[in-house]
Amino acid sequence: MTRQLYTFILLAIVGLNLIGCDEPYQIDEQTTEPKVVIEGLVTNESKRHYVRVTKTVDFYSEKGSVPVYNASVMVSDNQGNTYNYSYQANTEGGGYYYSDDIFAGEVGVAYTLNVALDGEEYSGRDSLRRVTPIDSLGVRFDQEEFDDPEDEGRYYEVLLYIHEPQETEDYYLFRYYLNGSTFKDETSDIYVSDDSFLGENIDGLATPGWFALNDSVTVEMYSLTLTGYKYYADLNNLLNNDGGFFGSPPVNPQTNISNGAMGFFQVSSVVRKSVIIED
Amino acid sequence: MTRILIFILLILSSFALRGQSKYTLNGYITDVQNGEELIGVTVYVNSLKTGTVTNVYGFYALSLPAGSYEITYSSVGYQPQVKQVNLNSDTELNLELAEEVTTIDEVVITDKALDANVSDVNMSRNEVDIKQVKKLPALFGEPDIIKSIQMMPGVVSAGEGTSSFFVRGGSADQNLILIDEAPVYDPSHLFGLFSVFNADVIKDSELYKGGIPARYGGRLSSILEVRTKDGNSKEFGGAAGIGTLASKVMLEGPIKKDKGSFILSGRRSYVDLFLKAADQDNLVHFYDVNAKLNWKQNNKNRYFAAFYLGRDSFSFGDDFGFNWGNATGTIRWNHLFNDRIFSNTSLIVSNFDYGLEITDPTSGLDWDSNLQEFSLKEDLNYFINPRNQLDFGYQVTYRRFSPGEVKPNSDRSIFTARDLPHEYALDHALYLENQQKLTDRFTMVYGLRLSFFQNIGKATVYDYEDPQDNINPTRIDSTRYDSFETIESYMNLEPRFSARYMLNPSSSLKISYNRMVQNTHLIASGTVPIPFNTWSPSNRYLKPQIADQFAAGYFKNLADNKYEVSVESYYKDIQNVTDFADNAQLFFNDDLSTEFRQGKSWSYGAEFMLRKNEGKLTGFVSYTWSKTERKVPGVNQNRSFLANYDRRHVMNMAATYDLNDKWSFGANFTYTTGRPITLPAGRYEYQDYQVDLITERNGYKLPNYHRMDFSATLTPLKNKQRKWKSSWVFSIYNVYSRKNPFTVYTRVESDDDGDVINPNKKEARLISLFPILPSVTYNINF
Repeated sequence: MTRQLYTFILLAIVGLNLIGCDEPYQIDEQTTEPKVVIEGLVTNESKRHYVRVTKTVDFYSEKGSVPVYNASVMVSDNQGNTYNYSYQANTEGGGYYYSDDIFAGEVGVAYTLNVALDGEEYSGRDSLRRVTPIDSLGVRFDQEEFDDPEDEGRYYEVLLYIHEPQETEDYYLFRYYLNGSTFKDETSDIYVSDDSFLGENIDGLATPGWFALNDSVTVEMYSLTLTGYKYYADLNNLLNNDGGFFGSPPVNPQTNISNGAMGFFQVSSVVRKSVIIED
Repeated sequence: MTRILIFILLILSSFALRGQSKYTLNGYITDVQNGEELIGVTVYVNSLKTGTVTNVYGFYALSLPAGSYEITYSSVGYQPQVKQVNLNSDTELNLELAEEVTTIDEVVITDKALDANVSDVNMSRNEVDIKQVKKLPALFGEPDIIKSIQMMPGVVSAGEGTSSFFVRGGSADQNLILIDEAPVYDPSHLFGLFSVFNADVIKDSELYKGGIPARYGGRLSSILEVRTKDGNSKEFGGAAGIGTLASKVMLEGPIKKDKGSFILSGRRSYVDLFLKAADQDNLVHFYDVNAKLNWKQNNKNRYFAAFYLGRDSFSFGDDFGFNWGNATGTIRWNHLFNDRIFSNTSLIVSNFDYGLEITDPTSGLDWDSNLQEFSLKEDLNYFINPRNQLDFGYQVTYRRFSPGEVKPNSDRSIFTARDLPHEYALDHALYLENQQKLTDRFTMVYGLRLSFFQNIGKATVYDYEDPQDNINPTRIDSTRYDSFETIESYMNLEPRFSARYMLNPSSSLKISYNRMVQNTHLIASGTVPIPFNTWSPSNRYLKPQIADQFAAGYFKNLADNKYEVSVESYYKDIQNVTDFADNAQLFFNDDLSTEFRQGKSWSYGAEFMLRKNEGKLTGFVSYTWSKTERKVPGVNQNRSFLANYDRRHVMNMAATYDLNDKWSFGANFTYTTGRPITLPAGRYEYQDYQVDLITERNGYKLPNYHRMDFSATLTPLKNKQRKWKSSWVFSIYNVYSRKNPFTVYTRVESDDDGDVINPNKKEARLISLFPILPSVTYNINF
């Protein structure tokens, strides 16, 4: 139900893309007070976890964000543990804080993020839920794509096999990597799932994209809380909205971070599997 | 309820008994050429300077003291007839009127009193002259009454290529769209490029924007009533048209001459046939079927059956398809209880459904949703005396809502079957309205509609810890209700009032007030409804929407009714206007009620209209200034905002010019201020996404919209010598190819193929739909 579908439908109807027109448009810029953006992720993996603190930029800015160096960042859990985060210089884009200690999130534990910046306090809370394991990944050669490929040499798809437990309420976020870098069909795609739509057997579900021989493809599956699921669903709507014509008007996602900051503090279990495309 | 009805009938018949010294003159007025009943014909008693008009079924009744009268029957576009009547008993007088100028193209009816603009008590009402619609330029050459409705003062559209319209600050779902009394839930074909109304079968259509009569209810902002032709009861005939996108054929004729007739019409688009020829996998088509049968037993009993069926179907390769459609049926019985009580009993069925299908071994699913309604309606007109006409009646409607059912359609599909709970409602209405002529100059219509709504079982209703918490809805209790058990009921009184004061024979002042109540809510947060939206009845969490509207106007006819001028202003206030939380999830949400937000809406405006009805050049110019705002708790941080369809200035012009018997020309011009839109005030990074920062709903305005269209109709002169007549309609849409804004969206800076140029930059893109579009339609009548 997104913009692309509507536009496609309209254009398809009125004469095979010959008629409609899609051209640049200049938004009259309003000067708005920059807002704080906080992005954090704690997983069940043993590592230094990150929190990123930045500020919003003008819509037509050349840079995506303004890093914030002087925040004090801390994560605590409901078991009495506290993890201090320190600014790490020379990261791409900037604004990254990493935990001083290596730690792993635990299933059933709630984590609270606190960020203090310029006299303001921002906090967010999320809890770590179990994730369903990926049974295996498969590879399939597609004859149609081979005969008429979108991209030369790319005609394999990666298949996902999972047993989805039916008795629990789960939400998942999927991330895909091609040869080590993030892979999406479209830059604005988000792959989230609410298991109330899913049956027990995910039996060879194709992941997005077509792959070439010797590509290494990794699938990551994150557990989300309902709040997390809603955040990503909202973000998806915002990134793919049609200006509120057929769909709902764009609006900031509902976040778990307080005090008017943008972004989200996500706590997840994660599983991953990789496959190399071979004949 | 039936007891109340019988009681009223008894009172009324005692009224009738008291009037024994008077006699009644009544009958039906029809068109001499095809037997179609004429609506709004003036029946005027010359010596008494009083009269009446025929009702929507072509019936009139006048109760007069015994005596001899000269009676004039007149209507726009028809030769007036004068009859001498010796009234010494109740008299039946059916009359056939002939068209003023025998036009060579199809016979279309433009019936109304010559000075209706000034003399009608109704204000805020627009009739759409289907004959003119056919001569005016049309998108893809397909005449469409909804596109004409969108040009009326007080009406705005959200953009071209849409079939929704917004009346006096009301949203698109606040219009009740009726075809032969049956509601149409989605009037669009091809997502709105065309409406479901096939111009070939339309007899008459009118739009009520204010001062809405008590016989109508259920929606807040307007009533669009479309009536189809009864079919020629004199001789067999038909019409066919070949257009750019669709073709159609219509057949009509008597079942028995002057007794019964039928009409059958079909329309189908054929873009898909071209696409097939071009070896395209993406197919799209729509069709419509209209059928009507009627049997005029005698003046006392007449029977009608009307059906509409339409469907759109899209398929994208073998993988994905969807379709939607309306089906309606009306069975009507017109009966005269006595000379002065006219009754119309209707049984109405309406069904709207849509379906999506994905055929894929692992992600295959079928998704279906539908809405059904069954209605019984009894409308009575009691022609008490020339000074009073009483309308009263009863309606009961049963609705069944099935918001969505998903089923996997393959063994390996990842999806599980789900069926969202159905909802049921019963809607009763009882109304009474009198039109009273107080003096020669002053006439009033006052009425009351009582609406009694019940949300009924079978259902399970949940209680929530916080009914508005849509992030983490927490159910704390549930109640089960059996079939037809009342869950929630709402009773509302809806007063209706209109008055007209004649300043002089050619000008009048009118005022009106109406309260409207809406118990069927569209679940959509976009500007323009799409067929995939669902509807919900009022329930525990959704209160009835209530609108109060005041309107006043000045009406003037010039040069012997050649020109009509009107100026109207209105103020409309809506309580409990249905809206949804920011970020509401409206599809397949088990806790949908937590997304409901109801608030206030207010709108005001002024409308000007100049219309020329006679001569070689006919047409209108309209201008509307209006403003519509909303304030809904939980939306836009509780601040008021402009409605999505708010447009400050709207100007429309439409004209046709009959050059000679062979050529006529038409032109449209439309200019509107851009609609409000929500655009980002900044942006930020989240992971590898470039996210827009939104600070205010509808804080920006799209560029203005303007467009001019031309058309030319060629009627070959050789038509005169043959039984079948042909004509060509040439249309040019958007003559100067203005790129009119449809919507704006943002994306990461990309090239024309959609490949990212700079992942750290964003850009806004404007979509416009139609450049200059010529089209040709060939029509024949036989």
